Amino acid sequence: MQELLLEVKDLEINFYTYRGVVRALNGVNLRINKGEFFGLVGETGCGKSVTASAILNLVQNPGRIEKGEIIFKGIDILKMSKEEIRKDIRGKEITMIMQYPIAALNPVINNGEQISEALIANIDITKNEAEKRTIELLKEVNIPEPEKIARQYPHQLSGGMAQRVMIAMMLSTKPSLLIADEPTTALDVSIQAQVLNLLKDLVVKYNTTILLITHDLSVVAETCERVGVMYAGDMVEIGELKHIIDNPKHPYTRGLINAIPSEKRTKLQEIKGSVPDLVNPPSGCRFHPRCTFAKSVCKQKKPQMLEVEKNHLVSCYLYDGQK
Amino acid sequence: MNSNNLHKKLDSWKKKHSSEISDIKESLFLIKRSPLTTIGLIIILLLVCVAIFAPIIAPYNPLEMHLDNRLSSPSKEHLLGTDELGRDILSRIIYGAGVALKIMLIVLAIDLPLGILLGLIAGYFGGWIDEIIMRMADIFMAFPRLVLAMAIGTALGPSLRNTMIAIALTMWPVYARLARGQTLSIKERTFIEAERALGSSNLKIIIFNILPLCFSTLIVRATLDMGNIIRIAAGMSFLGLGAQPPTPDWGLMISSGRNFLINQWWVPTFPGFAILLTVFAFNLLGDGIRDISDPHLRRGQG
Repeated sequence: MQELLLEVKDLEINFYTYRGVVRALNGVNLRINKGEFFGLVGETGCGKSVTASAILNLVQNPGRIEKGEIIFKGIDILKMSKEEIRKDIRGKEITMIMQYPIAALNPVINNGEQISEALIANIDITKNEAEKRTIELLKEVNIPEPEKIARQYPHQLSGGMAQRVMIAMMLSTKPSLLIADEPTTALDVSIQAQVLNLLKDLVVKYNTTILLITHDLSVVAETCERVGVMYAGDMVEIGELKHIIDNPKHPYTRGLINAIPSEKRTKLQEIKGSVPDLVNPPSGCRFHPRCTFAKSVCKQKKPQMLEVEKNHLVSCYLYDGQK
Repeated sequence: MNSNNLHKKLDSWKKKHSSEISDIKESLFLIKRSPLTTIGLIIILLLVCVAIFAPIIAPYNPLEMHLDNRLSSPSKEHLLGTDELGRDILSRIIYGAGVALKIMLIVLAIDLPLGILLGLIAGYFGGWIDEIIMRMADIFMAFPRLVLAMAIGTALGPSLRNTMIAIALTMWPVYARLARGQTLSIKERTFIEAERALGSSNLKIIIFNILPLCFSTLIVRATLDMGNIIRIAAGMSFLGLGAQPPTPDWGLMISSGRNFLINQWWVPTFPGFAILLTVFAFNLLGDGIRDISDPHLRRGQG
């Protein structure tokens, strides 16, 4: 029924730094279906953004993709040449919006021109048509007075406005996949909801797919259909939103949910310990030093993904042999 | 009817470029607020006018000799006196303005594009290309500029064209280094990543995203260097490496007039003043432009 758009298989990325090899991604698996709103959650430094840049093959030095496959529409992106990826994938098939929208816009080019530039570069279109289309796009992302905003420069915009301009720019080429890397983190809470709702509407309107990266579970809860939870370079749990929120299986996911303030809880529970140093990651399951259920097997071998219920995968020995 | 149409067109043009127009207006306002920059700008504008309209303004032909009227002191006929060959010094200074400006413009026209190109390539691609370009720049910068210019000028043979080549060869590393430094910091910024995510080629990123941001820094540096170039060119001519007689060049005029400094002081002094005033004006303007391009001064954020 659902068509597979992107599959990340066993992706491993290392960063070769002065301190040693940072094992940023430790065999990540991920499947995103067409038309989905997929959320990727995790703490800072757990490898969410690295996964995103790997999908565009934009992992920066000193990072290196060690192994794995990124299959987009049936083709392994990592096997394509640099030039092919640039021409056929980036901008046309996959685009990305960033955390700090004002920094992500060129400060010396006015907003309208940035969007029409992107259009001209990726679609066969004349300059006049591109300018017209730009105004339409700005209207679609609910920008008041689009003609005026188009003539202004990025520093004259508020964060929310700039993020809308960014969204308009990245959707202008009608990509099949839009990666949103913490799109609302730098915005006010009231603007956050507006931007998220806008993204939700645009997924339907443009028939696109969104991979939303965030550290904020409430953002995920508001928008996503399926969620992947990452910890220290591992994908620990993937499932539909209701599974993750109402019935979290992995101890880490449970910890995250318990740390959200709510009326039911009088005292917030934090997860003991801190994120491990990825130069020397813990053996086996990377969560075991902080896990209250840790067994001896957890230290020895990385747990496999297990399907605990339909469409709900967990990587934890707690559920080994249960099924 | 026709004028109405024109008005409409003008209005829409104004609307379309409203931010550029307000930018220029703001720059003019900031220039007006700083009296020294205004003075510098006025002197330079006068100088440019003098250089362009030299044949109209100059009272005499700068090359015409009157051996019966040698070394005459300033008078009504010759406002700044005459030199050892009876040529009118004022006319020679007026024509000299054109020579000085021409040298400066040609040197910058060689150096700015060359330095920017090399700096962008070195900064953007890094690695061995960067090493080669920057070590070359280091070699050129290891010598004092005037000494190196003199050495190159001597090697090429004394002429105005060779002076310009010599000065240009000593100046490009400054621009290459600046452009490289700017590129290094700009290429790490988020909007470059966004541009990559949109599938832009390296060439497009360099030309549309990095170059425009380098520009303000390089323009400021170039205006600060304008005075320097004129000074060095005058120095080279003074030493006999630059302009050759009978070219009305300021450095050359000082050089040939220096024997008369005690008794006929006007011969070398007035060309000296011309150099002083010009370099001074360019430095004032350079400082002013540096202040104006400082974003903290703009938009009342300071």
